[in-house]
Amino acid sequence: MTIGKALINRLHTGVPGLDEILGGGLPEYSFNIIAGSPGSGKTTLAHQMMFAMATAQRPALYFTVLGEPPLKMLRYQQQFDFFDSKQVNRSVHFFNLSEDIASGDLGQVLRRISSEVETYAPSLVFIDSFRSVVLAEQSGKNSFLGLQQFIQQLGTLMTSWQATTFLIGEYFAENDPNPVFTVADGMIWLRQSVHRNSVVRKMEIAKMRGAATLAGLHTFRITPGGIHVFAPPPLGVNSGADSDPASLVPTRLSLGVPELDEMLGGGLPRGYSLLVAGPSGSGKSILAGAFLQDGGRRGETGVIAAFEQRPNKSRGHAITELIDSGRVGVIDTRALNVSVDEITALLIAEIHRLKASRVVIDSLSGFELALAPTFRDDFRESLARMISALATTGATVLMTSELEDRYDDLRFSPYGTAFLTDSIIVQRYIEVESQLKRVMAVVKVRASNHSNDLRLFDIDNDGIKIRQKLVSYEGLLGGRPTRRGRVRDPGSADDD
Amino acid sequence: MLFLPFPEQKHKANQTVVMPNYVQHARSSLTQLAATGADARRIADRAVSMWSDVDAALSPIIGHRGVTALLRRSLLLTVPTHTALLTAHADVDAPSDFGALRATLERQSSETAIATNDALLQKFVDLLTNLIGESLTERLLRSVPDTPSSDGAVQETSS
Repeated sequence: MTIGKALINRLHTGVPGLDEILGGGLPEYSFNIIAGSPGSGKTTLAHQMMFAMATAQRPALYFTVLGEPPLKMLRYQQQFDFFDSKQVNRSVHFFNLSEDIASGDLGQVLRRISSEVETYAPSLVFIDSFRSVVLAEQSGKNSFLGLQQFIQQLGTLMTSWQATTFLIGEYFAENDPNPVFTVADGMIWLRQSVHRNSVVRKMEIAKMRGAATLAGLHTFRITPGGIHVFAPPPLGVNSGADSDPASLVPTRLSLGVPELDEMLGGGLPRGYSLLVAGPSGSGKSILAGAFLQDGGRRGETGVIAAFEQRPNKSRGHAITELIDSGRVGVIDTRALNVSVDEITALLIAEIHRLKASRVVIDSLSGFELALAPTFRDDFRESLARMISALATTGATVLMTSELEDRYDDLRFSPYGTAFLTDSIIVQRYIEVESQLKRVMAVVKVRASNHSNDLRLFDIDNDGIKIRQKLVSYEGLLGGRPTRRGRVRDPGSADDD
Repeated sequence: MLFLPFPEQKHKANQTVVMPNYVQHARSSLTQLAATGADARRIADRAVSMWSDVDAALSPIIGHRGVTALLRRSLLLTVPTHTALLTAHADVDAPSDFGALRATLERQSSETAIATNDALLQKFVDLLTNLIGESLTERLLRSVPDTPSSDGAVQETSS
């Protein structure tokens, strides 16, 4: 029986990804702490939420205590896109408590907060920085109100005024038995993880009463648009949002190379992930481009995340046209210290935006290099999550991967990723009669018949051309095949 | 409310700045007062009343000390063209205390007092604009009342 129970509304924070890790938004009237070291983004997070949630009817009050001078705070915060000057003194009100707290009398601070709260009846109250309040209490000789009482009275006041409250603080130690931790309904920790010379920002919801939050450390980035939290990708459930465009796509997709489609058993099954592995220059990116071009010809949309060394490198005329016309979305992969979750979130957002049916990640090797060092150890696990998350969108995913030719070691994928993807195509170089030839084989297409042939292929101005098998040679994967029968030029005629 | 879109002016340093309407309004208010035959003391009273309103509008956000710091800096920046303000700069210390400014303005002719206050207010608004931008400065000064909350004329009759 749920009738009569209090309903806890969830507030949309306006911070991309934060609602997801909060388990659906911030509980209304909650009493929260935002903690972290200097420069971790506490004030930015507070401002971003404030400008998103405040309204003229239920405004936000932002109390600044000692610490960052208010002029400086306003100077820097207005650089963010979310800072709307028109809201200041209308739905957002700033108050300086430095002179109230200078006395060390927390009772005076509480009276001032109480007075402003009664005047404005805010829905949101921010106190920045709360560390100053703690220090004032410690140094205050004439305070009749202890820190614990102050916090309890503040919590009571805010609850009775139905205000969602945030205390922004530095240097809170997690193991510190600070009384504020007991009173707080929610604790948002912002951290900066340093590994070698890379710094990655991470957010943790250490506590949030009444909410099923996503545990763990979630990476976030601060951009001119503000904070963007990269929540772990949703797993296992098809979003359904893209099922409509995907349903317009045939059950098997062409890769844009007819003979290769035949080798795959009639094209790549829709919604599958395909790994194209091969050595440098073997034609992986060209195949990925053909895949997107074929989609473009059929009116499908696509998304590409290209981790090439030169961002402005030409992707080919046809792909450039698709990008310029908005039919292929490009994920900006140039940011430093990315995480797999970040790229996954960007990919999924772009897939949803374009209702894309084809996705290219070129290449996993470049992707790994772009990752912050701290994430590289978990690359395989993260990759598994990403592939699973992309599968929920219904899009068909082609990933390329650099695979060093090792002729004494038969490998079809790096990182032990063979089992992660639904299908694998391997490209290799072989030496035949003093020429370097390319061969390609379909290694795996889950739940489908496919060719087992090892086929020669060429790349010309029109793209990839699949040639014949080399039936009269053996030891192809050793790199230096030898002839079994009569001598024929493997590149000049059908050898089937 | 006082503020309409600002007419733009070109700054000497080739930088586009905006003439704040509040400065224009203050000048206009003091000029009108002078036209009624008000002496420098009444001009000073009205000017200080306006400064108190600016302090009241800004101090909740940046604190009285923050306003005083900006005023002291503005005084110093205005001294090269209005040397009389040097004394005021030396004496301005306590938050929300405009007594030194009042004393300086009172000692001048009405016309000079208006020009001095105008230059000082312009520097103050320029400084604030430089720190927090035109849009936010305009927004914060918008809450300054059109009519000084404690008009100098009242003080005139009481003296």
